[in-house]
Amino acid sequence: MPLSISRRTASGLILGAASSLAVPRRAFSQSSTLNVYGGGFKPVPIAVTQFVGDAGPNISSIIGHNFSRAVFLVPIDPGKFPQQISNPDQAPQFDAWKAVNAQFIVTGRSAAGGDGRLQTAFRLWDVNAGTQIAGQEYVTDPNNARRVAHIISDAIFSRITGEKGFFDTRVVFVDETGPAENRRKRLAIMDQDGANVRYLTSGQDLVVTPRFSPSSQDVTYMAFGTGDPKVLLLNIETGQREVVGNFPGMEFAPRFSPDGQHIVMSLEDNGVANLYEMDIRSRSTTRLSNSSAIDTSPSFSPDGSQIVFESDRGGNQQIYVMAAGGGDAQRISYGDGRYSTPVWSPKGDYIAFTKQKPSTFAIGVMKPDGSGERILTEGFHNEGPTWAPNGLFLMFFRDPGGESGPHIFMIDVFGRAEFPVPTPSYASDPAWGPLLG
Amino acid sequence: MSQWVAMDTSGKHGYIASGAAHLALLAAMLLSFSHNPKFEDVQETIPVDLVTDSDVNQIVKGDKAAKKVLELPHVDKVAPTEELKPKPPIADAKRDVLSPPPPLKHIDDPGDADKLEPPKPPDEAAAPPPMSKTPPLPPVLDKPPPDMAADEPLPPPRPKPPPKKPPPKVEAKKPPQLKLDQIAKLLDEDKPPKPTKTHQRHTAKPKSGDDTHDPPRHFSADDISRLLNHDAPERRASTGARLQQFASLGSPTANAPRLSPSLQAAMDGWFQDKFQGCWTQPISLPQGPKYVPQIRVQLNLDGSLSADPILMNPPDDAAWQAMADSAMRAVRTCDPLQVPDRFKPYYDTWRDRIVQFQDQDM
Repeated sequence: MPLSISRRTASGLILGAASSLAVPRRAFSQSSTLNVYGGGFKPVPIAVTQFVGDAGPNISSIIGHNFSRAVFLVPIDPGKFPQQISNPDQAPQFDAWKAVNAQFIVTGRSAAGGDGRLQTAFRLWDVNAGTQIAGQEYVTDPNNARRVAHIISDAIFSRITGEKGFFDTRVVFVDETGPAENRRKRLAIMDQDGANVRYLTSGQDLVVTPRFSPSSQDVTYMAFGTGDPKVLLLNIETGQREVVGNFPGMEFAPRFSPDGQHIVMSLEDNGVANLYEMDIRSRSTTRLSNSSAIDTSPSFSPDGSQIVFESDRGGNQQIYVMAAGGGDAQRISYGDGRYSTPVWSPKGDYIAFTKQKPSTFAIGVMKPDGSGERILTEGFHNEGPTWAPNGLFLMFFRDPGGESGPHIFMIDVFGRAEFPVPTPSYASDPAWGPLLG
Repeated sequence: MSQWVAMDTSGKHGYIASGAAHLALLAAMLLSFSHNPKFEDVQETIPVDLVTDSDVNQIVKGDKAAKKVLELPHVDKVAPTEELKPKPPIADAKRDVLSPPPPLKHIDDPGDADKLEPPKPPDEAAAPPPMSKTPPLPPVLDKPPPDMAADEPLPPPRPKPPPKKPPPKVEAKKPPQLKLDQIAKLLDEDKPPKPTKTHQRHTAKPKSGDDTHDPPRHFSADDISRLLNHDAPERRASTGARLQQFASLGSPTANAPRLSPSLQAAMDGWFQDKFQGCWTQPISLPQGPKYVPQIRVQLNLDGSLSADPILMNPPDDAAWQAMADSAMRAVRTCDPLQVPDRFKPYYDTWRDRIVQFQDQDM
């Protein structure tokens, strides 16, 4: 009995002491400074008003459409606008816009000038601060109207989020037509929103795995012609193309280095595939891996110091990281299933991959050390992630199989929203290019 | 022999009794320990607010018969600041002051411009009025496509302050050029005259503080009202945005009510929730040392901002600017805060605070 009493007393004393100490300290520390912790995700509401001028509605419509897919911004329904902007250079009625929860307003004008060139100007207004925070004017050929709209979208996105834009970019992809057993695969290029599709190859050769240079308008891809598959280099502006290497055996999975001066790829020889790096100018080749397995899908880190790739050296396909000059590789993927097609984010913070489990193909991201794996989309059959130049969005393709064909989708790095990218027909293997600006 | 037997018998009984007693004791001890009473459930501690005698006194103080006329909390008036201004030295004050500069020349309005049109400087007023209400855009470069031909930043249409007129220059008078004998003559003339008797009386015994050399005041009992302060009575205290004009049921000493720990926690939680709801933290954060923007938020009693929020620690690294911007935007987005009535008596604790915005992994 004495023991129990003393225990209870002690516990009561400890509790009392703890509570008496805890409450005043908390109250005291908070009396001077208030700590606010980042909450859940909230897209920023933005009102894109109709631009004045003959070409104005088209420009503002493209900007509004861009923002509707920007995930981190949310355009306000024009039906809720409290004010029609007739003079884009006048400050809007901020109180009225605040009432509809707009944090930013875009106003502008676009019309042909005296010389026939398109003059487009925009202003970005911060509703809560009651000031203009960005404004720019562009003069260009009327054929470039869409690009002007994308450039304005990037300027606004960048000013609000502090991140780089991604609207003024193009995507190379494989256009697929014809029946499933005899598909015609042509290399094509389009704006990131699916507009301005242009075909780069005729469709005689089967093309796969196109990859954009991060620093130029060059594309490398793999073509199956009459002989062995070869890696080719194509300049989009000039249409000039050349075979990158002429090695015995098959070359595949080419990708540019961050400076655009090297290509890293796989070379197959006697059933094993190893990684090689080739200088584009001198054509000198360096062997990077030396294993008796299949090492493929290499991708540089944005600083060029490391390479991530997939290999089945451990029994099944997993992701490995090694120094850019070769050497020992470190396995980073340890989840269930097989990991393939790793791609390093242009920001360096994530590695995107395809993860295959029985009957499902997922697109996910993980940190370069293998931690923080996050599946963005899962189902049948997702493949081939490619990063937007700002590292905030990815494109991939989804092929339901059967007589149907693949389509391209865009998703943000947090997996919050997914949008189909319209293409003229079936499309696969997207490769997102750098910012044009 | 029988004695030994008797003793032996009694000894056996003793042993038996002793053994039984020991067994009983052992059993009792075992039972006692085996039936050790369970711990009673520890009662949950409930935070309580201690109400002291002074708190009670503070609550019940006041005129019970007074009408409760205002819902606003009792507030105090801050001492007028002009009293703190240093007075100019009297000698300076008495010195002759230069005549005031001539009034600025009135310039006619540069036309019936729109009210939102920023005021133009006079030289612009001379130019023909612009076609639109826009401030003139910067000149535009013209390059061939496909690149964008021009990307000139548009200046924000801020009203331009009218040009300040330079203050009128006062030309210093040049001293006349004098010859030596003229100077000597002037020196003789400048000798002070001999003081008169009246003058001596006024200057002989200057009283302490009477350095103004004003004629002495004469006290008059009939004119005593002149000496009284005719200013409206003022109360001096420390809290609140408005001065309460009527007697209230509250404390006459005008002390700010003290905030209990639980109410303080509830109040902080309320403000944290509000700012969190208004805050959209940046999508991604730069690598390197963490930056936590600290913003000074000053509020009116109705919860609106009484001053523009101030970023106390602008980031050294420009990469963190988006974080600072987002925090500033959160404070402005929250304006005005609908502060619950129960927190309004404690206005002094939330009228001026530092709010820190800590990011969390998205």
